[in-house]
Amino acid sequence: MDRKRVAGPELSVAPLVEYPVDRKCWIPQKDHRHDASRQPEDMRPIYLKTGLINQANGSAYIELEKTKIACGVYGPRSVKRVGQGFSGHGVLNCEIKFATFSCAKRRTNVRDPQEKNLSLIISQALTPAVRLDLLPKSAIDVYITVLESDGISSCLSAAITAASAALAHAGIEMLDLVAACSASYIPTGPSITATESAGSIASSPPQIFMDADLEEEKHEQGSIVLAYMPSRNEVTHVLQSGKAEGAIISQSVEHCVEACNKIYAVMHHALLESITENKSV
Amino acid sequence: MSFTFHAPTPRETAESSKGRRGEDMDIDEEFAQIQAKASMKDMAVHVVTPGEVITSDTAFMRGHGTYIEQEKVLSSLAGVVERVNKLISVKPLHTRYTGEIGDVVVGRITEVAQKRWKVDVSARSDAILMLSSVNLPGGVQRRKQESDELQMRNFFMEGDLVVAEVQAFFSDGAYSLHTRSLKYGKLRNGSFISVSPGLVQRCKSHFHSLACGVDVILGLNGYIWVSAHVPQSLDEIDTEQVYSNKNKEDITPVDREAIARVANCIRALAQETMFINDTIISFAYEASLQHKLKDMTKREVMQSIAQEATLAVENMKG
Amino acid sequence: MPSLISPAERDFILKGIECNIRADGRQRPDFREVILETGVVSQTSGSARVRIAGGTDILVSVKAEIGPVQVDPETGDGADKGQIICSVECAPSASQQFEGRGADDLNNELTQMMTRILSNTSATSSSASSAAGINLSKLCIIPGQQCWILYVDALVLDYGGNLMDAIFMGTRAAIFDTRIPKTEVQDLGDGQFEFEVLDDAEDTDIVDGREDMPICITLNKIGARHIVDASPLEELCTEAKLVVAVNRSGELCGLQKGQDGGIEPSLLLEMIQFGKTIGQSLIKQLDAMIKAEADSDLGKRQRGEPIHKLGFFAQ
Repeated sequence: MDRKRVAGPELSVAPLVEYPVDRKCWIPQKDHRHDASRQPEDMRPIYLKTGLINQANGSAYIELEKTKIACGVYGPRSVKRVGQGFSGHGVLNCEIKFATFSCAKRRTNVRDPQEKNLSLIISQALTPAVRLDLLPKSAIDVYITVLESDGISSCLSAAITAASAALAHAGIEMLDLVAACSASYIPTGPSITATESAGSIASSPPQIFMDADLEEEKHEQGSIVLAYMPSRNEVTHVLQSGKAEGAIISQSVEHCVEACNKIYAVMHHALLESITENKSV
Repeated sequence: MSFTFHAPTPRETAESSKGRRGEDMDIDEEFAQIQAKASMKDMAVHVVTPGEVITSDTAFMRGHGTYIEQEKVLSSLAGVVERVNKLISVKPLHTRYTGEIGDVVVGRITEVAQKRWKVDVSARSDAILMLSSVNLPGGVQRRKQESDELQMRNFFMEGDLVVAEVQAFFSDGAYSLHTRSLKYGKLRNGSFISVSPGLVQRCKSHFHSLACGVDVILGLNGYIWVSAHVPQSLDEIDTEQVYSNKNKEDITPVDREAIARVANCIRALAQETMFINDTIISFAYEASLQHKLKDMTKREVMQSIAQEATLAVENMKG
Repeated sequence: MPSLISPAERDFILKGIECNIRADGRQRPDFREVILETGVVSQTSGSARVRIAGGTDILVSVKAEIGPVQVDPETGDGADKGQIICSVECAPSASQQFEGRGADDLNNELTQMMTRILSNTSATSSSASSAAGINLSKLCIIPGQQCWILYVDALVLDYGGNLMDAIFMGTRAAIFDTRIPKTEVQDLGDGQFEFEVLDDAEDTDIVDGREDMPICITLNKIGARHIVDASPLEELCTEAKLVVAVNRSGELCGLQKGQDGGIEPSLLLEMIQFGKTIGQSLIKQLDAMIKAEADSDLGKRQRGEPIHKLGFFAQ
């Protein structure tokens, strides 16, 4: 080594970093989640606030620990495109965009097919709630930006929740708020030792973990996202992937409905807060 | 619940499909056969393809679907040759609707424009229904007002089905329609079928009430409306009712079954490319009674219904 | 593909469904006739043409190609798995509305739905197969290097309602028709492998796990009721539609709501249950049909008779 040019020490050591144990490898076990403080039916704490984007007619920001989503609502505005024909109903355009740095793998700036599909799902989930029949010839634009994603299913459900709160904040007539929630079915062995033998995993029914994060999602056998209007008792969207028994599905639908009721309370509170804040100003 | 799966069936007759396969016939033989068929041109129908010489006799005049080159009359369409005295024309086998004044057509409103509606009648261009060519609520002789122009959507909206009459042609070939009669107007209480325009023939009437308690409107443009029977009394002139979107309340399941049956009969006839008129529909309906209603979507059942109906018509003619 | 419907027509269809007489005389749980033929395109590894009487016409092709394995950089998963790549395309010849970019949204929706149901590989360590039941590890040639990629392409040739169900029926038939050439791997030592694709048309592999592939049933909620196999006009009246993917043992493999309406939770569960039963019996009959055709083809081949496919000359 050229000692004259490289003035470093002769010996170098790797930096001492302590990784939290659970982060490195989490093995799904019964009633044992990635975040040890949560029970299987627990959701992550939700932070929801409306009115953070000044330019928008309505906006909302939602945070479920690492999942962070901002949403802006513009409109109603008149439809500019001519030649599409008259429509007595308004149109709800939703667009979701993952920030390039939001996921483990870098996303591109252009909308990819997955984002297009999620956008469609979000607009299908919100449309039943919005009184579009009162808005002929107009359109409402909902733009959702995912700043940080921690599991795609929970990200989608958080986006729906935030968008619905933003619509309400924009003063658009709605039948009800839409709350959305996700659940994953994760095969769990009865105990730590038994997880080693693959046979026992396959035989035991998977456990439903509400609002799974990314790490849990990696182990999932399937997942479900459910959007629900609590006051009207109506499911506005359901999206399930992966294989599952009918019983698991009906159970998770019930769990999700229950969780949506809780989310509804949060949304309700956030909207009331924004109103009282405005009053004080 | 019921499912039926089956393998596809060949389109041609057994004989011709054997020819197509080329198992025991080479292309020359096949060609010879076609020529032999072509030489039997004394048959009642003369089918030609574009570019085919119809006649080299200069005495004939060229009509629609033909052109003249080197003193010969050639076809510019795939269709049937029709001759009226010295005039030769070719009627295409399959085409968009070409109308004549006085035709009864069924159409769907596609656009509400300045003082007019655009109507899809399966023709080359959308037909036009002028605001001045419809009867407005509150009396036949009422004058059009500006307020009428503003509430045109209350009369006809995009998607609405109307029955109307061709009143005139515009210079660009588009049809102008009118609904200035009580039998014309908005369609209710039934379902819509679209068939090839050539299958509906011009008749004295295109409004029929069948014995089974079903009304049928055979639009000359191939659009057909099958609906529950509504007794029409001319005394009761309720012009408000003309533009209502409400179906009548008392359509019984029996009526619905009959409507579905008639609609399926028409589909069966159209599938077998047969002319559609009230007589054959009635026969087809009778033939269909031996089948379960839900089996009528099956191809075989449709074929047998159409065949039986043809037989019945031929028997009637003697 | 109609896009307009009058209020009176809508009401007529809705009330008809209410009293179980649909506009074409079917009852709520009735399917239209399905016409099916496999092996219609010679350039593919497997193909099928499915038509629903009354319009819908779909051609599904499966092409097996050799490609590099896709390894998840984080988990290291997938080194020993093949892939299934799905796509749906609506041909412009099927409808004017599919011209240009008109079909983009529909293509994307159908493709994503198909991908979600068929090639959603779950990371579950317990089984190497995907949600679609197909054994992906059997498609691997050299672990970490080369594998078979099954391209499942559905082409919509004509539109007459209920595209999704027809696509899945076609996919199942096409996968059953698929034959993958056998390969012979040689270990050159030193971690180097070489393989050869055997060129024997008689001795080929079938797609392992094809029986467990799901099929999907689209339920259209119109009024308070739901119907299967909706016609184009019925699709226009649909408030909410639910796609239920189910395999032959009755496990749910996917669920998606479509359209702009809502469903009550109790009705949702009822619809899922209904879709499950109807899907299972559909699979049974579809398999019988596919098997009958395969058997007759096999018989002809053994007797040395030529096999004629009607393809597009069929009615």
